[in-house]
Amino acid sequence: MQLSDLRIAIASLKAKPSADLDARVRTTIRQALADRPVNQPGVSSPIFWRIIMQTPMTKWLAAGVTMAALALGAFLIERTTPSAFGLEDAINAYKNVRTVHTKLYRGGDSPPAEYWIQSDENGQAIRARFFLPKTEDGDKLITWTPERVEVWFQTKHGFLTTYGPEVQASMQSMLDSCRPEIALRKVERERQKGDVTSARPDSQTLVVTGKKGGFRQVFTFDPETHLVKSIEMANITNGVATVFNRVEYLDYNTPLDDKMFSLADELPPDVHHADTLNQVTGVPQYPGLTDSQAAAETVRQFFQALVDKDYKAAGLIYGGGQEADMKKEFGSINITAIQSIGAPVLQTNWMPRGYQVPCQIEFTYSDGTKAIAKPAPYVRPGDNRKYPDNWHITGGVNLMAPNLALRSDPKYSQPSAREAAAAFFKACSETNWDEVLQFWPASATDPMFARFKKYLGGLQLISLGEAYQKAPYPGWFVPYKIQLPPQIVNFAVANTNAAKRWVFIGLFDSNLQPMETIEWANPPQTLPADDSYNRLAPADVIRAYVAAAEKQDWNSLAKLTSDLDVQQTKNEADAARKEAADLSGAFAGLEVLGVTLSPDGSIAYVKCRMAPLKTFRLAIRNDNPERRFVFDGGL
Amino acid sequence: MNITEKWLVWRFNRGDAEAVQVIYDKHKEDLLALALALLKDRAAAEDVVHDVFAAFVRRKKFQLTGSLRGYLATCVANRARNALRDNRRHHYEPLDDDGERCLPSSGPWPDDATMLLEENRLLADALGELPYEQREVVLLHIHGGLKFVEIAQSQNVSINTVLGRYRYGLEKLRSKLNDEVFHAT
Repeated sequence: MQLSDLRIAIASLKAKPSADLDARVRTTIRQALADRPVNQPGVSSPIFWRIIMQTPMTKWLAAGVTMAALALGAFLIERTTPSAFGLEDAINAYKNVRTVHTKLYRGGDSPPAEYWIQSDENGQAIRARFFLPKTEDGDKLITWTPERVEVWFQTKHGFLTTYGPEVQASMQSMLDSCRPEIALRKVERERQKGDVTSARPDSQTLVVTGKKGGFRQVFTFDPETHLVKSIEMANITNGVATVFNRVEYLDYNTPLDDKMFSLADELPPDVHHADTLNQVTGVPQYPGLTDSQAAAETVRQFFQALVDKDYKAAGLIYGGGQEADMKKEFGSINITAIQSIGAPVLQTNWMPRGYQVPCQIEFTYSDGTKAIAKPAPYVRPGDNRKYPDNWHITGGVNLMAPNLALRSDPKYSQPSAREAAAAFFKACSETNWDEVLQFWPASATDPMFARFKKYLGGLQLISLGEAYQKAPYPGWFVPYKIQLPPQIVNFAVANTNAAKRWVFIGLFDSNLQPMETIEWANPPQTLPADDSYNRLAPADVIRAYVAAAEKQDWNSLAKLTSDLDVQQTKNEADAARKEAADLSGAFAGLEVLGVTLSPDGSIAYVKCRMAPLKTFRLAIRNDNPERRFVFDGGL
Repeated sequence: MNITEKWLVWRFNRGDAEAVQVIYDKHKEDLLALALALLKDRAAAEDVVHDVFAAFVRRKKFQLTGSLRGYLATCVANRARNALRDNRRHHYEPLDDDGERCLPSSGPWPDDATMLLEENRLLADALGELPYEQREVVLLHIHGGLKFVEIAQSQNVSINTVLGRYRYGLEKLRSKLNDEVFHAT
């Protein structure tokens, strides 16, 4: 077997996944993306303030309590009923506990929440550190002391310092959850009422089962210390127990370093910091203002601060964000006027006093043209615990959102998919980027737009087919053939091989900087002496290379470039064929402009102009509220 | 410039599930073949591919610097190596600690692992007999399209080590296959 055949055979290995794998991956993708803060295609990358306050503090503290309560919830009520389970040792042992380290496992494959809590001699929680995975705000690491709460939003790369008196009660509940006398008093009460039965299969285990079935709790105790080791809760259905929560008490009385209760040394250097502890943040609810009016006023003050380029003031309203971060986020957008502040809409499913405020904000491009963005910020009071009546913006400032610059001209919501595609290509050919933006799903400031401008500016539309749909894609496909703008590239060839013949080594830009280099794992194959490829000049090598690639003549191509390049070109051709694309015009209009030799004569740069043809289908969709067609792929 | 891949990644970075699905559909057969060739265990290979996409999709943001195929192939190789080291499945072949030598696989391919290989049974058997590091380099370079320098970086070894493994691996492979063909005829 020839090496080239062997490489092709290896490169061609494929395996068909099982239906199970396909389904698993599909589910994983959906679930993972559902957990992400931004789910709308085309929305700019999430910024810290839009997401950091997704869950108000009261709610995430409640979440912490809930997790504890889930484990012991039914039992954390009574403290007066007597113990009747022979666990006096455990009760006494707990009197000396000052620190607790626990892990709480929920159902499924979720990672555990983890808590370190320290108490004083009276059993009162005095400081804590806890990790909450996969919350609405992603993973969170939190430290609490009575004076200060620090929250590191690890997933969202944010850091909040604030004041949180509520945390004490939350941590107290967690601490109490491992106190057997509290749990067991409730068990005893339930037992006496006949609601539960209990059993002690051994001295280290207590099993509590609902008499009517439905649930089971298993307590385990350390035989030496008599302290609770774990509590497991299970639902029972048809006699089958399904564990949905498990609390493990890993350590008691392990000394906790002071450093554990401050996150300052653990934060990444570029984390976004919001501070509601040392700043007066938010907009006060002035006397006489209703909640709705306060919400509108907060939004007005925020955008006015952006119009005034007062990023410090804007940050104070936007969750306590730092001036530098605000400037970084909004500094590139020239917001020039507030066009309107709409009627606030009460968000009853979000917060009792939360509102969304639709508004229209004018911004101005560097060329003087103006556009209107339509953000709808969310606003609410209560995020600054020291100033609970101050209102803050917590999200929805989507100035970089899709349709940023869309004009309200009905012509854009009327055309067919084919007409929209035609208008899109026409605008590209005329480099009318303002018009292109009418079909573009994101902001003009997005780096991807600059890339597309370079790629598409000045193209020639050769043909456009009839639009069609293909399930499950919700949009339309429009077949097209375009000629891309002329490009100047240098094809490099080298003759530093035993045969001293020129072979392709890569593409270089007009400054002879490498764009793409070809890797040679083995020297070029030795050709028979009379093979004409031995005597090709550099420019002829490139012409032959292009011809072979266009014809998909792999044998000829293999004489001019590496096996790997041949294989990759073949793979691309296969992939294009699958997607009904046509690569045959990839080097269309190739014209050799000149050849430059390196100083030692071993490399020749063949300067070429070409205007590639591309045959493919544009993906375009209008499943948005305004029924406007926007570009969605296929270039 | 592979604008299609960059576009898909751009959409992925904005939370577009369809884009990730397209990426998966486009690369799944190659990636599963790679995992299968490395692990020789269908269930383990599917786990690896699933885990690669699970990790990929959980990334907050993805910056595409090389080819997406190469990136995903590297992820598969890394996870396959970890799976072997974890020795979670008893029939995995062992890796040597020094990472330079390892035991060749001696057993035949399990039946469920041969599905990529019905047309390439000889190739699969020959690949399976290569020492793991050689097999990995050969597959990553030829099948994954990774450059030697990229493989060296991902494996934290010198490029000369990678080149050596590649040359030895490929030569053994060819020798093995030529023997097989000779005996078969």
